[in-house]
Amino acid sequence: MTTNEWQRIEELFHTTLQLADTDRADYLTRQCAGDETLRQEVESLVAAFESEPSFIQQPALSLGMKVLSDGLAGSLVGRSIGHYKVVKLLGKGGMGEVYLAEDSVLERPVALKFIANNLIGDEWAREQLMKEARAVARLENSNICAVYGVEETDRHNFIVMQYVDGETMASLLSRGPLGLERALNLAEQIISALSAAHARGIIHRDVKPQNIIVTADDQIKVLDFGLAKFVRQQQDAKGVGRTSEQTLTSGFVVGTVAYMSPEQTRGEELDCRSDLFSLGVVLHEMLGGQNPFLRQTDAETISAITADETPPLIGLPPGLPGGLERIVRKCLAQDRELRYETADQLLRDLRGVRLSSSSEQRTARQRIHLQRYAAAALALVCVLLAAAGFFYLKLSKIHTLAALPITNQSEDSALEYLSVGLTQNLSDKFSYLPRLKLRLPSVVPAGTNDAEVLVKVGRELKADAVLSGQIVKQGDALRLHLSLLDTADASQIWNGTFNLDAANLLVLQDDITREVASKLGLWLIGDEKRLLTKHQTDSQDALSLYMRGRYYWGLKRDRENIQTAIRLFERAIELDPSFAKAYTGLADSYVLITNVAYGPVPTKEAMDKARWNARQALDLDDALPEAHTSMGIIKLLHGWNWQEAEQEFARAIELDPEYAPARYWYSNLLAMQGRFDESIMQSVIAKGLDPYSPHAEVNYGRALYYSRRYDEAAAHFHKLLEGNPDYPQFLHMMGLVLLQQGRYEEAIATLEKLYSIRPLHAAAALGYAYGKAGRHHDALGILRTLDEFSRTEPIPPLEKALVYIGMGHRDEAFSMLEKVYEERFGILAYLTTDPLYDDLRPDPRFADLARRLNLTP
Amino acid sequence: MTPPSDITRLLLAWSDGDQAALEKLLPLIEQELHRIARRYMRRENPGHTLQTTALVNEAYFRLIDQRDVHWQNRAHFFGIAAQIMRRILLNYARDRQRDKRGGKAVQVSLSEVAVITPEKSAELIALDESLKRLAVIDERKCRVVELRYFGGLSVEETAEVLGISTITVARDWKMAKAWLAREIRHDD
Repeated sequence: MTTNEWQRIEELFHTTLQLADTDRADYLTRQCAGDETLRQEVESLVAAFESEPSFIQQPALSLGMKVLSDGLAGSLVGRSIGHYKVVKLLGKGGMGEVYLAEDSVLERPVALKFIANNLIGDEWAREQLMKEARAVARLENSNICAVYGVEETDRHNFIVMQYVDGETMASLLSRGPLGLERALNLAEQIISALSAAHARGIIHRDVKPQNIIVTADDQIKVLDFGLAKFVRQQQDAKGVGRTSEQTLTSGFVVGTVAYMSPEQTRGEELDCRSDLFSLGVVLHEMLGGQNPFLRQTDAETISAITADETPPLIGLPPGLPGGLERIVRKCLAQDRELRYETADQLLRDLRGVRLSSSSEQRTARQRIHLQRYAAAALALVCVLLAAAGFFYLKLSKIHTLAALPITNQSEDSALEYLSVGLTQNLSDKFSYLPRLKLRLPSVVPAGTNDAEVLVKVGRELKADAVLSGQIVKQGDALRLHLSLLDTADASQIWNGTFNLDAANLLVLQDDITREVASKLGLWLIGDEKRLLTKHQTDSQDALSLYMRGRYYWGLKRDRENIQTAIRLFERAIELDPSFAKAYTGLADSYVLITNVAYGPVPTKEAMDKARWNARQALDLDDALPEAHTSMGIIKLLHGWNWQEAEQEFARAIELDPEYAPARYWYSNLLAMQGRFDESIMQSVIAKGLDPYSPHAEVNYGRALYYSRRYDEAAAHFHKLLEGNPDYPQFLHMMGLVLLQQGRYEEAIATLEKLYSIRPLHAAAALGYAYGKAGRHHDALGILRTLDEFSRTEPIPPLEKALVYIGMGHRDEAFSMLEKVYEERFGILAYLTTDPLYDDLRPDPRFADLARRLNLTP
Repeated sequence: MTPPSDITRLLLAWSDGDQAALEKLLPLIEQELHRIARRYMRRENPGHTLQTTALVNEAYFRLIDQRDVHWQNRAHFFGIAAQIMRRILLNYARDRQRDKRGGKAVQVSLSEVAVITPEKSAELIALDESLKRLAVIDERKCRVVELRYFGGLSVEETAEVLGISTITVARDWKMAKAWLAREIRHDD
């Protein structure tokens, strides 16, 4: 069509429209002058225009508004929401859209389920939904699609879920019924998911093939627990009558009518038996390929569901094991009183069928084999019973358990954190068993794979049994081997191997604790069961981040490790802001940071952060010994508030008498107060709790040194250096002790050795020693070196102060100490304790400074 | 949110012929439309018809720094907004149709809590197809439909955006409606 033709048509069209009906034909005949095509064109346009007056009259805008506000219409792809990068639209559910996204913090794919705002009309409904999602997030079952959390970011409400790569059961069933064996296997997994949820009081409400994902290796993941009740009926969305509260409490949902239980179609209150009905429908479909209730219309479907008689099961293949049809029928009972009461009962019956069906299929020959096995099994059971009786007698005497650090033998150093974290968490769990005394050494001698060494260690720890563990890698799988040995006769009480699956760490730790407790003859009573499963966090990822943080925190203490630890703890808190221990990790890291890596954070700021985090931890869980210890250290070193610090340490020790760090610090505090005997006693106790730890040894030696018991201290460090001649802390302390003994040359030799290993660690003490020995030239050299160091990294003024003290330059020393005081740098708390400062005592400025530190000069 | 000055700059750059600026502009405007729509839907009674031009106008006033732009820029903005709305509705309608073909329509599943009925979806898709054909014959008429139907603009606003008289808009609108209605009926 040419432009001219088009213009001509348009002209005729407009004119014709303006004419009365009766005049139109004449007009067109005249104008078209025999051009029938033109005439037809115009006439058809006029007819179309007049026959549909409402056509596109109403702008699509109101429709667009709904689309815009409801479905986000795939618009989020490519965007970042919080730390999620949206990759693609996976689909649309009743609640809104589901996207695949990349969690940029944890670097894993997740599914984000957005909740359309018009579904959660008000704040109340929104809160309910968040509450429900949180409850589901607490479910731990490998057949439930994990909910990682719920978030509200940039006005988007969404649920963060495990991304499962698989096919829905609906799509699987569209290709026909499953074979019996496969159907039963999958059914068991679905029931197991329901059972876990029901145990927590969560009803699914929308069990249907679309909500069941089957992965490539036939693992089931059930989706969307409890969420269905939040999908409002369509008439609600249009504002008809009901309040959101009514919608939520009633069971009725707009949804897949064909899988609803009779009570659900009636909008009654639901319990777990409603899920079992829906499951029965799914089961029927899995076996027979057909939904027994599905009809042409919803109304007919509902009347089939609510019919008095359960319809005859259709399409079930012939030759199903006898029990199976009965099971499906029982699920589908109209009256819920007649159905299974729990998912577990159903599971039991189903397993029964599965066992009998698989054994029926066996040949007679196999049956004979089976009988033989049965006989052998019976014999085995007798032996086991006898053994159990024996162990029971034997075990009743086990009161003290030494839980050794789990070692990482995977040759993958990235897994170190796992061994450290598992050790710590398992010990935490054991500490909930008040009848069990624990020995938790942080370090053990080498060779603890050897049963003999283990038993020896156990005996040294005065424990009745030793628990040891190794992480090993077998192919791609990580396994944890645990072994429990009796120290009295070196016999093995128990051993077990567990799969370490990152997604299951929480549950695994509960299982291990329970297992070990039972092997120790500690049948859990009352509160113990609850305490054992008391989780510090419900987030696997937060726990894992925390474990890694503690690992870096405990590694060689340098700037990088501490800052890595801080980052990991912060991320753990981000994931679970109520994870108390993560705050203690941060508090401990900030307490350390100015001492191990002076400078990256100003002392005062670090301490404010430490205090804030310790306070958070205590607000969340006042019964955490770690948090009280952190708080005590902060009050001691940076508040110079001795009394309150002591209360914190005492509280930590009361909460966990076996927590060695509380003892170390309490011992330091007692020394600062001049209560030397008590100080030494605390450090001895700590040594007993952690006999192989160098920290404990240094702590004990320092207590002797502060008590001015130099000969004993020298003997102690001498012995330690024999075993470990290059250990920096041993060398450092040895040097200090020798100085106080007046053995300057030996002191200088010792500190020079340390200087060759770790110059910064040695510099101040060596400069001090040079000064004392009258080698002022060398002491000045150290001062210059410190200045040089300070060009590349911050050096605390205390270092130079010590050198000046050694040289007898009091004015310079005091001016440096004033700087230290202004900074509130923690180590100054040792002013009246550490013999290094003794030379300053005659000076009135010493007493003045001490008083400002709340110390008795 | 990207500050208005940046969005204004993008709009000006695009008006000057910078195609890359449009690429950046589209998602920003779309985001704002979503935001406004969501807020309206929360606030208004469901089913309440929005004042037709409110959405696009509000987006314009929120995103664009008025001091820096001319009416031509405003026209461009409205043009983009209308195109975005067209695309959003179309995508939505197509997804609905796909769901249906995928066999999900057999059961009334949760995903069928539809904002747009299947009939409406089919109509939208047909309309889009016809509009594409109309654009070949008479581009201006296609733009009039886009602005009026998808952008919700009045005759006067459409005239302003396209720089033509209101009478022309009214005539184009009538003719386009007739032509589209006939085309869609033929399709059936």
